[in-house]
Amino acid sequence: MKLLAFGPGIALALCGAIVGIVVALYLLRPPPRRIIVASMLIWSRVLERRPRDSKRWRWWLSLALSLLIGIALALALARPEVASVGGAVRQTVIVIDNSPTMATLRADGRTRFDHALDAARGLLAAAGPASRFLVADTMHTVGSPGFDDRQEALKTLATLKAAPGGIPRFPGTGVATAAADVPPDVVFITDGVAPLTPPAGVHTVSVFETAPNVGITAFDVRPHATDPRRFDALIEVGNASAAAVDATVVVSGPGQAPLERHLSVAARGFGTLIVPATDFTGGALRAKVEATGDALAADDTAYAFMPVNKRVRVALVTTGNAPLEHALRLDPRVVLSVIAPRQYASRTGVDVYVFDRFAPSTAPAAPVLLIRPDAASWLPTIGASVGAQGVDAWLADHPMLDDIALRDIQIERALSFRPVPGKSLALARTAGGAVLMAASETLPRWVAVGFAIGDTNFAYQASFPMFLANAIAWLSGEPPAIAKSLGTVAVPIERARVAGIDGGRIDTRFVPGATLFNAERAGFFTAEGEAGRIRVLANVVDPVVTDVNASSLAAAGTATAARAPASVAWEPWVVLLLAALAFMCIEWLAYHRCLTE
Amino acid sequence: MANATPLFSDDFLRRLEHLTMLTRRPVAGHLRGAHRSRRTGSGMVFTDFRPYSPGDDTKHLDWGIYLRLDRLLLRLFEEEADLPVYVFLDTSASMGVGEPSKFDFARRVAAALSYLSLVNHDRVSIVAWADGIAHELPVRRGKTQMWPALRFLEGLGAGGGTDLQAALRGYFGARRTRGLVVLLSDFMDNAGFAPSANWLRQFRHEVVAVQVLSPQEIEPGLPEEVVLVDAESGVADTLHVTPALLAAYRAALEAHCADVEGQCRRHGWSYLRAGSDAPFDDLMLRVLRDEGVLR
Repeated sequence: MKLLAFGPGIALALCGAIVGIVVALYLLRPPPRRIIVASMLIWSRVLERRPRDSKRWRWWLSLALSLLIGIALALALARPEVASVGGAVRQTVIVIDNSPTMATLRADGRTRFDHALDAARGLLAAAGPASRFLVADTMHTVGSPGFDDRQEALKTLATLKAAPGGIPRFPGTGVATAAADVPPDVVFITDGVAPLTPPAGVHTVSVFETAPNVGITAFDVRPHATDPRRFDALIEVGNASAAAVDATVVVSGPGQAPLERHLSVAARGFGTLIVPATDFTGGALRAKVEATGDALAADDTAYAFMPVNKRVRVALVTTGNAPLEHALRLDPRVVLSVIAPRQYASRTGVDVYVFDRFAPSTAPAAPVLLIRPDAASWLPTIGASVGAQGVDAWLADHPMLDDIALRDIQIERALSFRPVPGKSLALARTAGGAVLMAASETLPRWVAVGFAIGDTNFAYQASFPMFLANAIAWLSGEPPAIAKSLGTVAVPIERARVAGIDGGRIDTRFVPGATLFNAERAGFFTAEGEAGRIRVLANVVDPVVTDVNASSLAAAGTATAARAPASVAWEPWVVLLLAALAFMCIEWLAYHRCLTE
Repeated sequence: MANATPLFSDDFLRRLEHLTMLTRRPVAGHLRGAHRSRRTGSGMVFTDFRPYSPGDDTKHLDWGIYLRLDRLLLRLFEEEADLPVYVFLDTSASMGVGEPSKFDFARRVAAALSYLSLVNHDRVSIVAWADGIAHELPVRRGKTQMWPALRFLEGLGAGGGTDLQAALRGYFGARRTRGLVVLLSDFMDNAGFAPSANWLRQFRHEVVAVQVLSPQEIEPGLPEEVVLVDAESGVADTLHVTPALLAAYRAALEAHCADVEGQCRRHGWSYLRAGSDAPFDDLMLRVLRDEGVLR
């Protein structure tokens, strides 16, 4: 037993004082009033029919009941905790799921996350005053290094909110758990939608309730397959409801009035719209879906980037490279001219050069993509030759490598480059060194590929045309927008300024090699620094998020409802208070039945 | 004798003069009075004839019978005698308890009955008793004896135990003319009323029992915790008073009163129960009349 409100010494002193006071009151109790009656004749007859035992034991009984009442009240005031009555002084880990689907509205107009907070506060309120808590969330926005008291836990809860995006993960509580005296109760409050697998022994509290939701699960703008000058916007709408939904999709952007389309989306299905976007002048396009009774707003809006429909004049300087030439011609924005190395000096009016196994002695006036260049003073230092091997690592965040994976590329032979800090950046490495470099600060820009097209299988990869398109876009100053989920967004530019679609500044944080900002809702952002400019699309567009009813708890039914930990049982002070009340009732009954005095 | 207190107003005494004590049977008084007696004499009520004997008063000869039958017969008349009234006033300590005092109430009843008996030329004896005969006012007759009777009553005080049988034995142990015995008491006698009633019955007195109770006895307003002290014996007992206990007390008191009344009714006596807070005039002028004690 632990005494909480007072120390054990004070509590015992309090009990002793109460015992002393009660006994003194009993001993000092004024004698009953003496009344002279005419005769005890009648009273004696009454009392003969109501025989009484000795009075002394009644006095003791009354004293004992009074002492029990006083001691019970004193102990209740001390707020003890007894493991066998109210559960031990527990340590509880409360994990709140704040993944995006927790922002779904329930029938009462409050979100699942609000209900999760209520459940957490209920656990805090029901636990004993000495219980300690560790509050964590699946999006890792908060997390205590150890167990805190109830007030600190409530403060932590107040800072929590449903994350707009990101990948939820069940937090590790191993360190805090290992430091605990006894294994703590772990309570996980979730809607069961996020694919999280809590460890064994975790009590799961469900806040799931089915809700109607319609959201955009995909939005992209692509050139038309048969005519690169035409663009189509692809919108995929998901319906998480159990009934078909009529939805309205509005696509808006610069240069054209918004386009409104209607579609019916089957129950728990998807609907697809293709909207002609050629008449938009380029830039950020916004798609918004509207449906009756939508419970989650985060996935109702999505942004896509439509490249400005500008032609890029590309000069391919080569002695002959059909795959490269063919791949460049696939880019609808590219106006390709192929020239021999000896004709290079006379060319003008070029936006981007592509040097295939060639490098002039001086840097060209325009940005350049170098394919296995010869050594030149303005080029990065060429290192050792690289034998047959694959690409081990690459910077996926760089616009050059957006949506590109290099793991399947096999290189027969290549040159390696030595990056110069502050001037050049290694984009891809093999075991023998960097085989893909890009200028970091120098202008005009250049990109150097250490291997010839014919020395690799890169030309046979689906990512090859995309690599060329990214390279042309980056070199020509029109890098493609990078797609991010909502939440914390990192752009690979140091100390960049980030602006929203309306030009307003966005608060940023800086880390080495990147700038961080929070995208609370879907939007189009522009990050601009000394290293260049990057456009960022922050969207939900995630079928997993839109399907707010795909809950594992829904399938399990009420079996996953909250199992109250032992610490939420009746607290001892309540039991003591009830005991005191019961003793009072017994005393009252005994007194009125003449059992006590 | 305790200090004296005035008992009646003049107006009440004037109204008492219009009342007369009643008896159900002929009285045995040997002085002339206003009550029927078993003796024949010079009364107004004809009872019988008897043959004339020499020396009889010839004024009671029935001359009409002599003319018709040629026989000398005397007409006999019921002699009207006085009524011996024995007022037994309980002066035990129990009578001094209660507010208003039972003893004062009983004294006033005794005084009133004595007064109207004296006014009607009855012989009145007042016996103050407790655990025996405490004081006694010898036989008085005539209205002029009212003031000594009142002074006697005013000088009485409550004290001592209760033993009615001892008082009756002490008083009626000497030869007494049969008459009307008025018992004024709360009848809180540990021996009960039955032995006294049985003993009194053999003298064939007419009895009027007036049981006086105080309001506190009828409806005791006791605190929850109380020590009750017997006014006569001083015996104390601690009680935890509950509604159930009070209800049991009321039932026991009612049983006690019913027992006294039952004894009286069984012997053909009059019984009257009065609270000491009852209107005294109403008791004397209406209730006693209704009971057949007064006319």
